[in-house]
Amino acid sequence: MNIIVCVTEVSRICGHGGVNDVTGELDPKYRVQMLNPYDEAAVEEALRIRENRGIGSVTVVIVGPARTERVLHWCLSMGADSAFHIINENMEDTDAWGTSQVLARFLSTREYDLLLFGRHTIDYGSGQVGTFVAELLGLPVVTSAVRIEVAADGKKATIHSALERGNRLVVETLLPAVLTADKVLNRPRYPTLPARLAVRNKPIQRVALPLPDSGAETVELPRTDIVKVAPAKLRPKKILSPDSNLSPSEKLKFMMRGGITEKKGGSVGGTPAQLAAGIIDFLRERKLLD
Amino acid sequence: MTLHSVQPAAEKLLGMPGSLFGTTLIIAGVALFLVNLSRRLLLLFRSQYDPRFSSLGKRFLALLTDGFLQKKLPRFYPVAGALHIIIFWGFLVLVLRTVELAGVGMKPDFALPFLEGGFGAIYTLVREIFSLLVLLACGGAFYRRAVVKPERYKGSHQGEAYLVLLLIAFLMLSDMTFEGSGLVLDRSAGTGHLGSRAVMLLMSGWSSETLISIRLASYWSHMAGLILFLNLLPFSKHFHVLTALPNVFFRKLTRGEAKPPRWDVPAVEKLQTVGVKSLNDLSWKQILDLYSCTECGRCTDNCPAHAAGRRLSPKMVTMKLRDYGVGGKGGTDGGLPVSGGVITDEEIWGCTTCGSCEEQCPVAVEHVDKIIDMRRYLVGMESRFPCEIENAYRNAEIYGDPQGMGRARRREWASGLKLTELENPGNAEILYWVGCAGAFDERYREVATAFVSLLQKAGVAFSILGSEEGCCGDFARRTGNEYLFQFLARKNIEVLQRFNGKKVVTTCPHCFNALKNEYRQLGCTVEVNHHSEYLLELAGEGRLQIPGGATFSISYHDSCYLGRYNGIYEAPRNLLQLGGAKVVELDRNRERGFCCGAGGGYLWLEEQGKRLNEMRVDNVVAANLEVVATACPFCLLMLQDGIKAREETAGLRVLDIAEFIAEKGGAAP
Repeated sequence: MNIIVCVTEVSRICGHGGVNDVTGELDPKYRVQMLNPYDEAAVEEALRIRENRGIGSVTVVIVGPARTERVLHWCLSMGADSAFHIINENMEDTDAWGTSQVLARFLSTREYDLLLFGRHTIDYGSGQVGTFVAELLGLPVVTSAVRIEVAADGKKATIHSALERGNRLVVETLLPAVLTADKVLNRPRYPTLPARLAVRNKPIQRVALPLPDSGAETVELPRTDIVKVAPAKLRPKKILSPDSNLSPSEKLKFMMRGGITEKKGGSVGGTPAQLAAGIIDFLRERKLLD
Repeated sequence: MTLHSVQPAAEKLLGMPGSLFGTTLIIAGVALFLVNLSRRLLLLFRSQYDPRFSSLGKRFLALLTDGFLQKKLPRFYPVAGALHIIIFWGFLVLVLRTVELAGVGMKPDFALPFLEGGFGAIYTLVREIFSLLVLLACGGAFYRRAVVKPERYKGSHQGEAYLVLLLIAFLMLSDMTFEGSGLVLDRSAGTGHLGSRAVMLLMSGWSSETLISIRLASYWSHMAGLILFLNLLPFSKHFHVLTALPNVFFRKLTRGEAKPPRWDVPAVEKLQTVGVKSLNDLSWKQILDLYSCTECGRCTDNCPAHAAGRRLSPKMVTMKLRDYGVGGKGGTDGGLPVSGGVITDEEIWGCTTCGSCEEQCPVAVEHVDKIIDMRRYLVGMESRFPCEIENAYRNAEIYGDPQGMGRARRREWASGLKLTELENPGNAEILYWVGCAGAFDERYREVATAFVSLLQKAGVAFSILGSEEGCCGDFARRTGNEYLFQFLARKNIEVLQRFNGKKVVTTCPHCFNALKNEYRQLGCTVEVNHHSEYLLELAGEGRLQIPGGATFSISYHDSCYLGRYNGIYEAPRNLLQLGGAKVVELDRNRERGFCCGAGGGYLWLEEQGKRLNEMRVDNVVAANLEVVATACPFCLLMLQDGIKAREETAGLRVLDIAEFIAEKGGAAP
């Protein structure tokens, strides 16, 4: 089974500082270079599928400037077999739709049984590329996969997709398909030293833009302009005052609780081990845990 | 030496001449020993390169003080130490006698030329004294093992120890009997001393046939005992008799410098494998360590991890490795892996790398490097480590610090202070290496600020690296992630080399140790001072005025990486004294200082069993003072957390020495 994973670098992590106070832009000097964690989960899942089936290959693809090759190194050190780097020095000039077009055109020339994406990035986080690519390639798409089971014949897959409040949507799809990975899908491996060093023997194939015409109609890359990055406004803190209709003792209780109404339901106590056991029982009772 | 009338070599034994019997016995005994020795040597020859021939002067000095004078033995363990010194010196003295006795068995008129005459007489007296002392010491040692039963002998091969003690005692007694009975037979030979004189007095008047039989029996049983002893060596901890002195001579001279994965291949990228999988991955000094272990248990007795109830016992690690290596099919790739097999993951991950075991070891066994090598295998080859440290690894690689705060925020702490950064280092006198704790930890930022205020007060033009600084890599190296360590170190070295010769001052002993002792393996030598040394230097030059005044008592907690690793015990104490403090020593101080629990990556690892910082706070509380001073961010934070966890410690404060000088110098706290 051949799996292609489309990954991206996240460099804008505002929580870690380095944002210019005036322009709101990240100072390139403080740019971090990391693989988007959702994409990392996708790579890990691809590797596990390959390892379980004992046959197949995992290819990673990135669209981005030269520096993003570091991210490909990480994927290769995790165990991916090969990597393609579609070089686009001007990522700032494009958007999710543009990237999707580039990827779709590249992928249309490749053979694969499964396409994996991260659900979204942790910087811009539009979460669109996976679905756009599926649309452009005319493939089925399942988003936010938290469990992926590929049938023995490799023709079908059953996917658990995360819904709100812990609900899951179980979908069966024919392959090839596009799946976008949730972070809880797995716990990505930390590469060993030989795996890191083996990267040197796995050449990255560089592809320049514009891609050679693959038969599809040429589409002009649309652009989304970022007008402004507005910093988060601090919300005024709610100050709760007790209802004047309450009796003095009720008012006192209200204030003692800090104005927070306790949720119904039991609470567990005791040592950490007892706490953990209590939580597990709770989750089992509600069938949130098998 | 006097010739006695009845010489074993001249008498017939089992129908053959004594000399023939003696020669056969000795040659066979030595040959058997060599065969058994070769098994151990094989492991030694298969091991890895290790450069241990530098600074021969220091090495000979150590051989004298720690080897021949046994300096470390009576320290902390006076009785056991004294007993051992007697037995050891007795062995040295009796070497000549043993050669003489062996000769006597092969040739009736054998005599060592220099044992004739005056020297011989003195030697005989000294020998007799030591024979008796050794005999008594064996009794004492036997009593200790059988009755006193120190905790630290738990897990050691006790039967072997008893056997050898009995054997040594027997050798002394048989020698005395041989000598004493000879003196009765040949009155012209003298009156003997001590032991042999006692035997002589006892046997005077016995028939000469009896005496001859006793003399021959004692001689041959002595020789048999000697050969038995020789052949026990390669099968027991008593192999240390042969390897301990070389092990002390080849000791590690810079304790703070962790062994690189391979001495002959310093760059981790050039390695195919990393760490220790089989015993053949150990260096020859590490194998020699295994052979030299005497199972005395001082390491375990002083191991904080062991005291906290973790599975780790440095003694058992050494013993298990050795027993695996010399017993059965061990030492080959076919058997169990060393890391995670012979030594369990729990043991490997229990260590805080405080170095207390190495400090205590009388024969210079290096436990910590082996633990690090085993971690290297688990992390580097199997990606197997406590999951809680993974974030620190990833953060350090991506953001340049284990907390994941990012380089952009490295100088946030100093935003209110007027500091020059790397851009303008021209007139900077020193470079202040702030470290991740100084840059990011809310509490430790106060220490960095206090240190800066002292520098400013002293008029020192200094510079900080700001966002150019990165994690020194200490935690990565000590947890076995050598790739990450070298990655971080190279980034820092690149920056440091631009400063070419500027003095670096750190407040963190872990950064200090990495910069001073470890970066040189990657080709970077910088002059580094810890702030305790530097502040003392400034005060000595009169640049930093520390108002003295009222004296009051505070306690000081030793940092492992400052004290044991780099031998800086006095500088922080002297500095505190300059500030008007009377330093009250905590229980377990200086060389025996108790680890705060954060070293060896433990700031990012979850502790099993009792918490070391809380155990250390027990010592601090016992001192019953209001302030405990430290000189390390790890210690400071750990002690503070330990204090928070208890109620009766409400008034107790933990201060860095720099804070103490800045805020409290000259005034009572």
